[in-house]
Amino acid sequence: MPPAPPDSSVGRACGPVGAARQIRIGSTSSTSSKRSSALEALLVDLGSQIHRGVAVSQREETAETLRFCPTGIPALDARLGGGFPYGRLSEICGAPSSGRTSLALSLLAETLGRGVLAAWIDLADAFDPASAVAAGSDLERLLWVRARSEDEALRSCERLLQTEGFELVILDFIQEILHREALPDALPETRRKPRPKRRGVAAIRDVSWLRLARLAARTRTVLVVLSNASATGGRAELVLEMRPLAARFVGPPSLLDALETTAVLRRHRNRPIGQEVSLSMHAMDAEPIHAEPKPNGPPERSEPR
Amino acid sequence: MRIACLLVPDLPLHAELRANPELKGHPLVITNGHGFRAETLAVSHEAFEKGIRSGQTLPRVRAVCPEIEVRIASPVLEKAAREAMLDVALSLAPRAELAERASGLFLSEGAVYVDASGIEALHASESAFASVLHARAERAGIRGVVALASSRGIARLTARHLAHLPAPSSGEAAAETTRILSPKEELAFLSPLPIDLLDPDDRTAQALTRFGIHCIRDLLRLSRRDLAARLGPGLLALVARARGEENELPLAQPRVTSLEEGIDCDTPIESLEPLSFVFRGLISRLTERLILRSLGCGELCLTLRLANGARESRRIGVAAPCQDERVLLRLLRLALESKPPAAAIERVTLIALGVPLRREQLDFFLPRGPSPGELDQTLAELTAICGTERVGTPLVVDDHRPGAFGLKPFSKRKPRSKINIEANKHAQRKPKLTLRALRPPSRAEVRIERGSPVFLRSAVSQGEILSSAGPWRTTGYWWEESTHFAVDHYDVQMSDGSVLRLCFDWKTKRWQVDGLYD
Repeated sequence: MPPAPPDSSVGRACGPVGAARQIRIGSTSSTSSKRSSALEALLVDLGSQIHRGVAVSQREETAETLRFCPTGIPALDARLGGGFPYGRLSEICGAPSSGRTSLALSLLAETLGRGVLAAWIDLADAFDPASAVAAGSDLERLLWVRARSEDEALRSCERLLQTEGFELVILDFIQEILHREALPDALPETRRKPRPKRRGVAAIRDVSWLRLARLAARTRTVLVVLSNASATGGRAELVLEMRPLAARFVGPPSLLDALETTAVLRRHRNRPIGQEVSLSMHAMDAEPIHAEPKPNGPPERSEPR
Repeated sequence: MRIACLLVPDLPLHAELRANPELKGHPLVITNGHGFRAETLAVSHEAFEKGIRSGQTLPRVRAVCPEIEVRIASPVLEKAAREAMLDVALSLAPRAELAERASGLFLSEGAVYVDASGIEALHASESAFASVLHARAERAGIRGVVALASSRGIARLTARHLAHLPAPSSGEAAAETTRILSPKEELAFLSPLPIDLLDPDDRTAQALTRFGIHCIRDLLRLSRRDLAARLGPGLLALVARARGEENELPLAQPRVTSLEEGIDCDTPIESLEPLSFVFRGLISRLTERLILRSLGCGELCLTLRLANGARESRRIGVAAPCQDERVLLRLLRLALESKPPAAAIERVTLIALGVPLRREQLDFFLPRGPSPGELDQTLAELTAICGTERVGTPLVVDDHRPGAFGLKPFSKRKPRSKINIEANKHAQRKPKLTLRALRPPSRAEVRIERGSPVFLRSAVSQGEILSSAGPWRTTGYWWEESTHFAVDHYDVQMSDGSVLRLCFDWKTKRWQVDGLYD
């Protein structure tokens, strides 16, 4: 390659803070020592620029360019900063009948309504298509994976996250049934069988969540884990805890009308945690999920990152 | 009409080399069996240089060259090689057909005819076309010669002559592999050729030798009437072949698009790992042929002949026409992993259904989603992980039985009319209280007081029932004893806060929890 002319733009490098410094590579008057020192300076400058560029892009991604997948519940979306973040691991946990599945189906319906693909990995085989349709989901673009074990669910989730094109993957790790064996016929009512130790999400190694979180980040997928208790450890970007309040019956004749629950933000990268949103999930056709932000005091704390 | 003939003199040899390219450069013979009386059918160039000739017995071959590689002629490989020749021809012209099999001296040759009429419009000359045909065949693992003449018979005779020319010694120019005959020079070219190239039967060949007729020129000098009177009317066909006067139908455009490859295993394969190497070779050759035909694989049909004499056939669907070797290999491997064969495998036959490739039509208003090949591979892997009937799109079925649902194969393609994103965007969603199904339902014990459940004991929850609603009775299929159902449902709130759906089955007289409101 011929040397660049002394006044050409080739060989001109700018410092990291914009202090222009002219380095003439191949200049006829420069000695070899000058040339080497100029090259070193150029490398130093380029190195600092590259390093700085990466750091800036990461910061920009987290603060500004991070996209959110809305849940379809405006009050909750407002508290979450727009919804569940793309490319991040999120978790919805809580006790039975706390509205975890209703919230997940609302998120699913909102996502499928945009014409994208979504997947529901079902460890407990508990997905009810009729409920999903009633929640407004268009099931044509939903992939339902009925895993038979935790290992199958995790492997399926990993494989789905490697496939670009699924915007939302919901990993349903909720296990209601503690022991599947039949109840003994002769068991007296007073003697209760001791509850076996809960297995499931707690037994999942932390490295699995780390791997899933990385895969979700690579394919920009919204990964939401449903669980009984927060199980993803520190790997989840967002943890929303659902608390059951009451079941409302109306009548006569007595009818189940609604579930009153509260969603508590337990972890979020950019939003103050501890905020609560009251949710009312109705069984009737006429009433949607009604959400009302609670007039909380100051947030408990903001989790440092 | 101009016809090109691609001819391979030792098809069994080239079929073996096509399937096992690692044998190239080694002395190799193809025999008709294993025993002492087995004879060589085809001999590689390296074996020929060591003094081995066709027709020698196997013990003699081994005595001459102990390190020789011996393979038994495989009809499966030969068939695949013939079809590959046709694919090469069809990659250059729309009309081509396989030549009928020869007999006698030319039993092991394979030939294909290509319609080369008007080929100058696409190629610089007929000679350039012949060179392209020869090179493409060689790239597909089939080394042959190409002759171009005004009829199939003359083209094949010319190609046969080229194929049996003595190999040039070192220092001489390379052997001639293509020959173009204009109609005017055909007779002059054929005249000095030996009469054996016409492939006469043994009786006719002996009679011609007895009469002193050794070349085609001698045959053509005699009057047809006299020849027919002395040697029978069968000789007239030979004369017509030499003159290029055989009745030849125009070449047809083949409609068959299923491509077949197969292999006979030397020893029965018992595990899946070595089988994947076999699959890799088969898929590689199939995809090469698909690319030649500009087709994509729409479906794979795998047939296994097992050591216990049984045959297993499987159909492996491909979501979108695909030429990707890795995708097809993965699908094949997953299909076998999900259901391994019952015994060791002796022969593998793989048929790819070729379908026209289609470009993915992207929707202006819809997100792109995964590519068809990638989606297909993902679904196949998920099916292998979770089992069949456990991966798909959920369906709400028209059935009142408790817990009824459907599952259909997942496809990202959907009729455009069913998607209305704008309508969805502005629609007022009405998400409802959701039921989590328990499959199978959990058995329960319930205490009833004044017609209402007051206490529940089950694997899901146990304790006092605070509130309840119901019962709601559902019955159906009363006309069939096996499918008849009659259940009462209750919605109950437990003391621990959970809200369950209880079910009393009138058929079994048992309580069960079949859902949880969540």
